[in-house]
Amino acid sequence: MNANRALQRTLDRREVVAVLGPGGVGKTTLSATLGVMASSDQDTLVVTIDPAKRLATALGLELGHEISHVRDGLDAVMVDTKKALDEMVTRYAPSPDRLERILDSPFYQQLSSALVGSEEFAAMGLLHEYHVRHDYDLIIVDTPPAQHGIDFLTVNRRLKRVFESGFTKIAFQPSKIFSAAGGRIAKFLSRWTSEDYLEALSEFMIQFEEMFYEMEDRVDRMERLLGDESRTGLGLVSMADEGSVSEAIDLHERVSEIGLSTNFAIANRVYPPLEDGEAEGDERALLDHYARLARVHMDGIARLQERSGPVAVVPAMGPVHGIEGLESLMPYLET
Amino acid sequence: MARVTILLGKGGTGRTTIGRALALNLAEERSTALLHTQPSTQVPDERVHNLSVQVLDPEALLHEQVQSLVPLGPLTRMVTGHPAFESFLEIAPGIKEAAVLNHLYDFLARRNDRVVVDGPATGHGLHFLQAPRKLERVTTGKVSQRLADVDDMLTDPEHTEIVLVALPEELPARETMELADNLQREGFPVSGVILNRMPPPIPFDVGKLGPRPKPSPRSSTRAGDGPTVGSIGPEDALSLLAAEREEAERWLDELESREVPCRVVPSLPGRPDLAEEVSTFVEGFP
Repeated sequence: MNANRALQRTLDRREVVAVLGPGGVGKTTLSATLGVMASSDQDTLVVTIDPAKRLATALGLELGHEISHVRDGLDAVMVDTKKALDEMVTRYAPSPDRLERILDSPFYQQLSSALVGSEEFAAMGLLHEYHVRHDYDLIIVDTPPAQHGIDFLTVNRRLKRVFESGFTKIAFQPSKIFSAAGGRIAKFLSRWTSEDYLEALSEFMIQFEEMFYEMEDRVDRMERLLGDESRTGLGLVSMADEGSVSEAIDLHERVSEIGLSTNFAIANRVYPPLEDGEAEGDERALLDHYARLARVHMDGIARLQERSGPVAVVPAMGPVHGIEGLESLMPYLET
Repeated sequence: MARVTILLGKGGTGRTTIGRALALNLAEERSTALLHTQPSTQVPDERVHNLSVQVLDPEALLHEQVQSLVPLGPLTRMVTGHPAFESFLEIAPGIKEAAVLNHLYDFLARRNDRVVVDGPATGHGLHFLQAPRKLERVTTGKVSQRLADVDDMLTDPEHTEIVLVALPEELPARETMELADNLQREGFPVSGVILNRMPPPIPFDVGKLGPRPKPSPRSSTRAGDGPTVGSIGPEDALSLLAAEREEAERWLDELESREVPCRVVPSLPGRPDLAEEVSTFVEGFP
């Protein structure tokens, strides 16, 4: 199937479209463009979870952590993942007293953002809320760059594995341990890490585990929706240079490792091949340079296409600003 | 202890090629080691005199190091192979980064090589270098002491120089400047920025880019066909290059207005021996 048609079909038939890609390839700009395209006949929300806050620039708007109305049929929101986690903790804390203890804990303040999965988990919770609370026909999710995008899509299963391993019990509630191995692990951890740390980590993890089971249902439902190929589409965005294409191919492989597949691929900022023409001197040298770049890009697209299937091609055209800029990209994506 | 150059830069900036180019230059003079920190890095087979290349696997390093800490002999696997322990290693913040840097410390202490480290492909360069310091605060005894030593090495300009690799485009350039500021604020010695893939200067006036390049590129109808993309004429091609150059110069000016030394590597598309060609542009840098 033609790449543009594959893309259009995905937008028409799915409830959610997640866009994956290496960092800095214009993923957010293209997600916004897909949003503008879809908004002509569907109520669409574009959500960016990419920390590189570019959606605002792409749409030429002030955007924040709350949903903004962009134009008829199109809303957009940039999720601040740290804020999402704060909100989740606040909402699910069993008591005000407990909430205060968590928020004051040195571990929460310093390390919650680094603790693998906690912010993504909260962002996934928000996504679920957008999905059930509002009646959008389509939600386009601009995921974090590269592997972080996959981590986002699988956050629930990853955290579940952690909690089901009994890790929190072994590390932090040694009295509940009955196995020899568990005892040794606890001993090992307490030998090398400071008591304060274990206490702070324990407080946070126990709280987080409670929240996890409290919210798991919703997050799990969202993750299943994202994993359901009849309801969710996946798009892969890359530039066509060698490095970006290698990263995109790597990503494509990781998508299949988690049991999913991509529905469409887009190569962004491509240098189209050069028509023949007479030129001499400096001009010739520059055109030769251009031709080499264009050839690298064509090779890159061919390499990507071998793995991902047909690739829609958006040519390079300088910086893109505002809705008008996005609309100028649309002809290359439409059928 | 020999000196180490640590390269940081986001994915796609050409960090790995620049790392090899710097290592090739150093190997002209003395025995040099190039350490790649991404397990998926593809390394050329060709052997170079004085240059040894290692591709590190952070996860494997972590397990090795943890095993050497658990003094249980045959019982070691019982602890390190336990799912709960695996979980701890997976979620504990900064622990893999610290394992890589600890390996680097060992390596430098053991061998007299000049070392180049091709750092992790992430915008979180700060997180990488701060890992030993953060973990040091929460550990005790021998482990804590070692992490403090690693941090001392990383912050000592006698031992460490940090080089950032950027592209002359808005997002990577901005991120690099932010990273340089943050690293310096945290006491890490930033010795230079390499601005990679600088588009060529245009020595004549090509006029502004028309409204849009005219092709209506369409992808092929079947996979494997090779893309069919509309082509553009020489005028459009030149104005595309000119627009790119103009934007690139803006970021070059911005970077050069800072105190950190900056070196430019031109865009060299489709070269078979890229690292070797690049090495002539980074000679003596930083």
